[in-house]
Amino acid sequence: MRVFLRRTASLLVSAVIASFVVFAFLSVLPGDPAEVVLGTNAGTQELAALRHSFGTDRPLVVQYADWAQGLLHGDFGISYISHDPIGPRISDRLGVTCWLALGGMAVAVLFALPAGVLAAAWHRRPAGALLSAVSQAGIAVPAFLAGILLVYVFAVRAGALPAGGYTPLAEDPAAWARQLVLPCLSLGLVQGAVLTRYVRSAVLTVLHQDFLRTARAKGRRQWPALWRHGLPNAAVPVLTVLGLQLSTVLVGAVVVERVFVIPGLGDLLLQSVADRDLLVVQGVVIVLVVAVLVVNVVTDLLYHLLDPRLRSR
Amino acid sequence: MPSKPLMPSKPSKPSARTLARHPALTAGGILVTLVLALALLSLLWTPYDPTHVDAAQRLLPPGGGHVLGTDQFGRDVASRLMTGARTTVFVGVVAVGFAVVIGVPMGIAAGMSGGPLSALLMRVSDFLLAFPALLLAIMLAAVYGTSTLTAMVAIGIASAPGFARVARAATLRVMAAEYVDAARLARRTRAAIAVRHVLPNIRDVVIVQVSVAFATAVLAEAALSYLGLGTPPPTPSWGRMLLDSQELLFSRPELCLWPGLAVAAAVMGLNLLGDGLRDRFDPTLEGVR
Amino acid sequence: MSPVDPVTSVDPVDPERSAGSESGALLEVEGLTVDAGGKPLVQGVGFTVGRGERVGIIGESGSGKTLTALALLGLLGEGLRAAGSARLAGVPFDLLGAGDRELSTVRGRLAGMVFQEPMTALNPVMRTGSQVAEALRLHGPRGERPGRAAARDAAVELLGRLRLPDPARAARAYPHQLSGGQRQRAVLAGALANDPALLICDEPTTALDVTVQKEIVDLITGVSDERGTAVLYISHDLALVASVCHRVLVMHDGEIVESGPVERVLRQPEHPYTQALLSASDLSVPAPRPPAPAEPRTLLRARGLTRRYARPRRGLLGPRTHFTALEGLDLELRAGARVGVVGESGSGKTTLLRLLSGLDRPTSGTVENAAGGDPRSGPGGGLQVVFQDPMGSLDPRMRVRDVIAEPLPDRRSPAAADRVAELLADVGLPAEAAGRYPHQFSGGQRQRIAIARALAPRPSVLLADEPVSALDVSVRAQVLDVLSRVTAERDMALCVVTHDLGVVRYLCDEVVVMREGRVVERGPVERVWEEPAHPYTRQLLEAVPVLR
Repeated sequence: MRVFLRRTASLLVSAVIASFVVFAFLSVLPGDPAEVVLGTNAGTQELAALRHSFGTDRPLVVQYADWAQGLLHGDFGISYISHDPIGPRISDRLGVTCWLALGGMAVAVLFALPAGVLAAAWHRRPAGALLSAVSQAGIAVPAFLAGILLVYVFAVRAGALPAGGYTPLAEDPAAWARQLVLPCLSLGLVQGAVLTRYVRSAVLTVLHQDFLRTARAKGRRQWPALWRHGLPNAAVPVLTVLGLQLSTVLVGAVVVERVFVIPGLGDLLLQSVADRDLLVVQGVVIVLVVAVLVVNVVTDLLYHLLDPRLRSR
Repeated sequence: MPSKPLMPSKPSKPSARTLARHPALTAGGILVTLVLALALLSLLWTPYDPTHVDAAQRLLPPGGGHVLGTDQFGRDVASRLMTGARTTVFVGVVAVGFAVVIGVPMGIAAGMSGGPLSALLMRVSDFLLAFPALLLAIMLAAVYGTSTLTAMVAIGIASAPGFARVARAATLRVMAAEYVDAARLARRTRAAIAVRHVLPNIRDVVIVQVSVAFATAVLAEAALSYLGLGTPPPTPSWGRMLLDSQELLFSRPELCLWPGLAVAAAVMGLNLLGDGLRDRFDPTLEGVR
Repeated sequence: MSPVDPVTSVDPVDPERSAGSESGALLEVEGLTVDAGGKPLVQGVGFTVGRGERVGIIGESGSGKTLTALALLGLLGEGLRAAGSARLAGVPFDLLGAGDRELSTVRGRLAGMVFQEPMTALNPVMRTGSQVAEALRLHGPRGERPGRAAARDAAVELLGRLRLPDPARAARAYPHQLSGGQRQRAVLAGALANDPALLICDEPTTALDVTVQKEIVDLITGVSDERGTAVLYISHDLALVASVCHRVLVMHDGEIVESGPVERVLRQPEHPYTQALLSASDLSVPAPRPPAPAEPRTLLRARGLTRRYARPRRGLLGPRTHFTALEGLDLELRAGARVGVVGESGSGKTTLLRLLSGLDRPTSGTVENAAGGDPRSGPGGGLQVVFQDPMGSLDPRMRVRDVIAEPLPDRRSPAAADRVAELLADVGLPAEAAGRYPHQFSGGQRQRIAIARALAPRPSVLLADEPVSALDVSVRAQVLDVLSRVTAERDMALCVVTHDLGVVRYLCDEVVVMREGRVVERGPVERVWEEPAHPYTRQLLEAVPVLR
């Protein structure tokens, strides 16, 4: 409980610092949004008027306070370019990216847990070496390349799955699922390869622990001993990696959305960077950063729950 | 059980036998050398000008004058691949170098002083973990526009916490050793202890981290240039080549293959090299990130 | 009555127990060989263990004693293979040829095993009681195995019988909440849960304090006497094995070099190795003493030394609590003095050494250093330390010459090179040693290098922190002799901090007994050994096994 409070407090502090950093980065540094909108040849008066309507003529502290206060109510401000409120645009896209990240994570875990455990248990056999080699190769492939390859195999050659696009779940669940298969696979297989290596390493470490030998000395057979005593211990370090990976997947989705033309947060982010729509960039970045921070705190708490040595502290 | 030596033994000079005993090291070394050689060679010679556009030479098949054929603008794929290697190595070296210069001294300082500084450093590096290279690069690109420099800075900043953590953990292990107490009793200054005892003993861990970070940098660079946030055209880069060839996936899929293979080979080489070095330096080091 | 009553209940008919093998021995091992990829580690080992008999295996590190024990239950690590034959009464197959499935019916039921390191022998994320209960729930015909609740109750009862205080609470605790001795009792409970005919103990008390060691050993012999459990007891400690076992096997380089009744082997050892081991283990005749200087100068004087460590705050605004490692200690070291500081873990003896040497600063109290430096200006200064771990006290990246020259002001000069050569000769190492790296030396040799380094700046006080506890018995006496000789030759004050009473007896004139940060008794070694004044000193002295 104390840990919970402490982590939550530190999450809030981190989030505030992060919002400040993001704001400072995108506001203090060069690039006047009014100039972006009007172009460099605009007259001073026009610029001043626009700055006033954007609020960018106010002191930065006030701008920050205004922006941060808005964030608390889910108000991300109004785009300088399209003049739409930014909040709804982000929340529309966030759902898409979440589906993608969760699907990718599911693929990674389903692939990596058995593969990692087997690679460790068989680490002196050819099968184990093969699993390690496959995961080694998997790590070397960036997610977007995996995506391109999957599109080539399943969409171009086999014609079995769509090469891209997105249909909301509520509209057509079947199309939604079919369109998400390849993106999730390309995110998940690569992350799964990374995860496999961590699972393998964690299980290998556990395999050499004394308590596993104690369990066998009591009459546990090899595999049940690994299952009952080994895996709960291996889970502790693997969990930390899982948390880090969920963050990676969330950000990796930005690239994969580009491959599969999926209208998620990444697409919005890249589009706004191209348009130099800084307030939108600011909003999307803060959403992603806070998501990563939250994931980290949640894994940290789970970690404390799993390991009694940390719990009693 | 026969007791294992607690300390890593001094690695001997590499010989044919040690190479055979470390297949990961050998394979990784070969792949990395290959990429480096291509990058260096491209400085002196490429079969064709990698940026020369020639509509008449569009999409030539492999063979003939062009070993790997030409792309949709008539540029020689092999030449572009070589120059792409140069971009990758350049970005990687600068970014990782930046991360080492920032991260390692911070890690050593935190590990040697302990207490509040150490805690603060861990906080900062935890916080930086929330800003992956890609996000940083996007923010930088939004403000300064896309360039090789923004990519390098973003990757460098994102890799620095890894070095700080690894260096701090290794330094803490060294500082707990009795030989450091002995050095203090010999009235060595803190700086002397850092140079004489800490640096030589954390060197291996840092070298392993260099190869891991380099692999990450190659992946990040490829992703950034694929998104159009890395090295701007016309300078060839592997990620950009993948983006260009994606349009031709239906007609000329092998154009995707070359840059894809190049990225995978470079990353795999670096990872294998890291694993091999780790095993050779210290088999008990399993799992240090 | 609980369904399972493992330690005291005697089944009226126990086929396993009554059906003996033809020779009547419980365990018969013949031609046991263990090799690692063709490299033999144990060769042609053969022995028997009778019912209820306690047999010891004595050997130094690398002798193959632990491998022998692990091979019997098929618990060898990967890459190790065992051959030969081992028959256990009541088991229809050969233990050495059997697979995991067959062996799992023997392990924990007919033969239990206890390991060396109680800190890591229990699963850290599982409650202790469940780990004891596990042994009960794994054996017996299906359908008759105890349920979860019954096994849990039985486990609590078992822990109680092994004299764990508050067994119900211990059963609910996780291993890290128990002390080393308590954990070892829990491991023992798991091994004894099914009342096995054979208990294999692999250095079960090496990691524990002497007084705890005595309790565990008494438990093992008690159960063995009461239940007729045969014990195979592996240890490096001759005196300990002598106090536990009826018969002893001496192993050296993977072979049994001598075996026989404990009395005979200890009194009339036949094999030269046994003879050497015995004479090295015997520290009862003290090392030769230097003549005391006429007017000994006081070199180091500690007054009211206290050291407190802050515990981490509980919560953000919780009160700061402190742990007192050392409280109000006075100590004086004169030239030529040899003081032993003795205590178990947590007694504050290492804290004392760090304060005396200036590596740490006292919370209150003072250290006056008349030896040639002020400890407040930094550690060192007429005072050097020989550390415990000969692996960790030498920088693996430095050549021996640089290690020894480290405290010298001009370490690159020819004079420094001469000094290094001189020091190496002094501690009995060849001059070529200077060019090598620490890992190329054995533990005893490394400790000599550490002594040479400590002597380099010509200190007048030498502090030694457990100087021989990481070493094998046969090199202990040699290293102690070097320490004794070099300090005597230089008229230095020597202060040895150790848990090993034998070392103090051998090396020191004066002893300080510490417990929980305080001195409980001090005086001349002779007097304290003969008439210990404090009950704790008495308890300590009684707990140490002695060669009869």
